[in-house]
Amino acid sequence: MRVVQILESFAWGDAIGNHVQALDGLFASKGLEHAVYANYVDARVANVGLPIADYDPSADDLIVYHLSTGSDLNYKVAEYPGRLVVNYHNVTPAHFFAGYNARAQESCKEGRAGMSYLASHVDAAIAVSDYNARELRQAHYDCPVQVVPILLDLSHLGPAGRLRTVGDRAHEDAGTRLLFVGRVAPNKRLERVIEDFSYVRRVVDQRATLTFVGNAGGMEAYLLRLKKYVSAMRLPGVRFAGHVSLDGLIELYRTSDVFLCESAHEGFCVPLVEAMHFGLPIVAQNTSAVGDTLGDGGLLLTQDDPREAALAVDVLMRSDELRDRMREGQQTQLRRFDPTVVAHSYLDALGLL
Amino acid sequence: MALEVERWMDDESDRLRKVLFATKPPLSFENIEVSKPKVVLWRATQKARRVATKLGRRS
Repeated sequence: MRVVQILESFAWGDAIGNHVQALDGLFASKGLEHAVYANYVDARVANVGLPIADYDPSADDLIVYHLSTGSDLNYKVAEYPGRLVVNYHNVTPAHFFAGYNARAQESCKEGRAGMSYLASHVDAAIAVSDYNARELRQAHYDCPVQVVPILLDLSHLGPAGRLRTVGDRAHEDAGTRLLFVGRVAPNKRLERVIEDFSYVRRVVDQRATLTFVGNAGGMEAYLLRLKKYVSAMRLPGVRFAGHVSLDGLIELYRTSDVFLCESAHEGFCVPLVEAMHFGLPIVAQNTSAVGDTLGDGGLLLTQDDPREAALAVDVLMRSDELRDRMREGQQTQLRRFDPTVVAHSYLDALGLL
Repeated sequence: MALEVERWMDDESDRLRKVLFATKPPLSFENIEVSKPKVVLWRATQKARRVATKLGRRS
């Protein structure tokens, strides 16, 4: 038997690409025959992935299909003779991209249609969060559906822990540093983070700053609108850092005070786990899979109101007890996402133990 | 279930809440128009010119 992973785009450095690479390494370590095929293979992972045109289907194959977007593969994989398991990463609802990127909007629409189509063609499904599992069941996936988180190797981020504490902040005479990491995309609601920040800056801490880290590829119109928004509000202290180096990212995680997430739609949200790795306090809106990923590792907003977010930032900065409790919750979640634990669950879900 | 914010609110939070709710709301994002970034338009124009030049050469 051969374990074959298939996906639309095998990118380097994104959440799904990293997951696929980690799984490929896992299958290799178990002595299983393994391969990765995709419509698009980034040159930096060409040693792992091959073009789908090279795939020679066999009835003995166990196919793990990573579903996250619109693709002809959403239909093609159903025709291959091997056993088919869908690993569902979620598809962003298309409406978020309206007015910003028609191609992305169409792709997401097609992705949702493909997800529904596959319901009656799969042997089993793996969802990366409870939220994703619920979506699969709503889409009539009557096959076994198991929840197994993304296989995350955080070793590249270096040791856990913080360089800067709330106590340091007072000594530095610096303001509260807010951080959000993630693609610049409308479903992440960066405008709401800016709105929260405007209240923080006016009422809670006049020296506060806000940094956004993330690529805006394909979402330039959204980024431009966000920048115009900040400019129209005459709001100082906001920085769109774009893509940053690994060292730069680590520095930001270790020196920021609060990770603020107002995302309306996430299938998993890897940056939340990265923030937990560094013990960075988190405030997040309770939407989609955010609560599943956070557990007790973050302060969950129950009202969609920027003033409540500002209050949450304030109480988090003042309460040692809350931050201690949050750190305990983060450690619990990190144990849940430990690669050894996840690898075992993944192999179990595939019937490979 | 994650930590819920209400449980951690205290007297200072109540005081701040009053200030926050008395603060003028910021400009709405809805008031900001979506426009195509100049760099994208510039790149598209350059690409169109290159294609036109190429086609011109071929003909």
